Amino acid sequence: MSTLRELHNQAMDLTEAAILARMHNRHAPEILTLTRKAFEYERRAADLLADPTAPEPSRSVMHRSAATLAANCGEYREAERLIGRALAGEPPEEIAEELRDLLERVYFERHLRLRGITLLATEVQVSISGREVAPGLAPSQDMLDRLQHITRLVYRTLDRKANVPFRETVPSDKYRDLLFISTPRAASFAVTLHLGYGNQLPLPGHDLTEGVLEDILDGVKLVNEGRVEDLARLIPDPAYNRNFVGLTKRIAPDGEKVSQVGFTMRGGLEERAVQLTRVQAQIHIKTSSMSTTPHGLELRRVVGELKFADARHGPRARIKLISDASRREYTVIVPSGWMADIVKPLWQDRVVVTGIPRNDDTIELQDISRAD
Amino acid sequence: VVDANLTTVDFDDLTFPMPALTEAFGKMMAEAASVCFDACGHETVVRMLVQAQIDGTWSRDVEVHRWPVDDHMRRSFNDLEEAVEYGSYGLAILLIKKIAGFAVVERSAQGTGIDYWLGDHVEGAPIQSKARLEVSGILRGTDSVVRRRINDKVAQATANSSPLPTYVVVVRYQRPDCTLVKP
Repeated sequence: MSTLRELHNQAMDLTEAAILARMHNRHAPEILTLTRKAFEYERRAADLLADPTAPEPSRSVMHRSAATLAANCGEYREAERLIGRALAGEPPEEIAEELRDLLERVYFERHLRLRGITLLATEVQVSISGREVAPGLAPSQDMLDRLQHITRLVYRTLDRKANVPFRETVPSDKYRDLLFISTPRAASFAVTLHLGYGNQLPLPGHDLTEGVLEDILDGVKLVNEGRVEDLARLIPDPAYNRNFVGLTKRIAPDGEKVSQVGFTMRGGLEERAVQLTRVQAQIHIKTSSMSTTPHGLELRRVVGELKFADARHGPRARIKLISDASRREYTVIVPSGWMADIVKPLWQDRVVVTGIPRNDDTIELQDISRAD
Repeated sequence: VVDANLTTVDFDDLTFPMPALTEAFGKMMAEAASVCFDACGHETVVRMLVQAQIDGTWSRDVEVHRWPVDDHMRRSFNDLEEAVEYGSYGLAILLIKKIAGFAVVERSAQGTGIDYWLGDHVEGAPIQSKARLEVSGILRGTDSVVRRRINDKVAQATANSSPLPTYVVVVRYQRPDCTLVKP
């Protein structure tokens, strides 16, 4: 009979092998097989510590570890059972919190499933969950901002798939009647977005919307997995690419109020769910042709009010920022693809700008977000 | 501070067997950190400021001997965020061994990665009587960003009067510097 330590070590060696396989871009079934084997060993190890009087923190950490592996290979019921058993003991508060976070993730996976909701091929369910999201209730600004960014993502993808060169203005004119929203549902918090023509059917071969939602889900999945080169193959145009990553970053979880954002759609008879779990701070955007900061130069971060915007001079627009700390005025060069969708919604807000210093008062924008 | 004469850290040490680190995973961490230093334009010997607040305060320039980086290695870390994460774990594991005298002796699955636990023995039930290793890395960032990372990790470690001892390590590649704190 294997000992607790032997089982646990087997599980962790297999977990390492699964991570290495993922990093070396091996096929998904191989990664899943390794993760599933790791889970089976770790569950047997956790079972040896099932007794509520087993020593802590070993008991709760082993249960959390087994439940994590269960969730990673799609065994959500098993994950729920292990988390429940761990919480029924006396876990240290820190581990108990992590178990609750994991349970939230497991339930979010359940909410991503459609469970009786019928979606057309032109519809996508958008769900969010997190500490400030209750069933059917979400912070309005957080949800509305995300829906606005998803709408922009749809407009830009429609343009891109129609081979329209990137427009620095918002391309809403001809698309504004194409996107519809359902009533919210009490999943975590979910709505359905319908992309289509209302009652009017498009002429064959003239359906602008075809493949748009699948394309967006493909892109979101690549951003979430950090697959920059694959995203560049999907969206080769730098302005569209930068715009896509910028919008996805704003849709992504903040890690505090919202911890997960999910998309579910129907592809044939199958449901397809894509989770955006990478938090905003972990999504980086390459600006202009310069992908890295010149050696020895540190990024500059300025907090201030966004007061002035000038988009008259082609794709490299400029904004001005009055620093909170020094009241100094900074000129910020905005890369193509960002002005209308990323910067404009922050007009006259207090923002945090991070960028490459060009001189004492000029910064090339790398990131911008609303200040807390 | 165990090794008072600490002047160098060599990534080759990550490939020696450790109780909770396979050779393959240690090699991956060494490559990840090397890719990050390379992305910031550092040579193969990097002078890094190491500051420790573990039973007293300690600060010193340490020579980090990283591995040479080729295109194949760069490509295998297409996601630089992942390279930053695992590279920082590699550096933390080497430094904590030299500064606090602890090795990583236990692992557990956490999220899509691995959580490490420090100690000086591997007897008894896994995780028992071990300290947690909390690591955060950034490629580039201002001092205030680094300070915020340290404060967040320390706050996380001290929240809820946790009985679990924790070592917090924050690595910045561009400057480059590394801060180790035992709250």
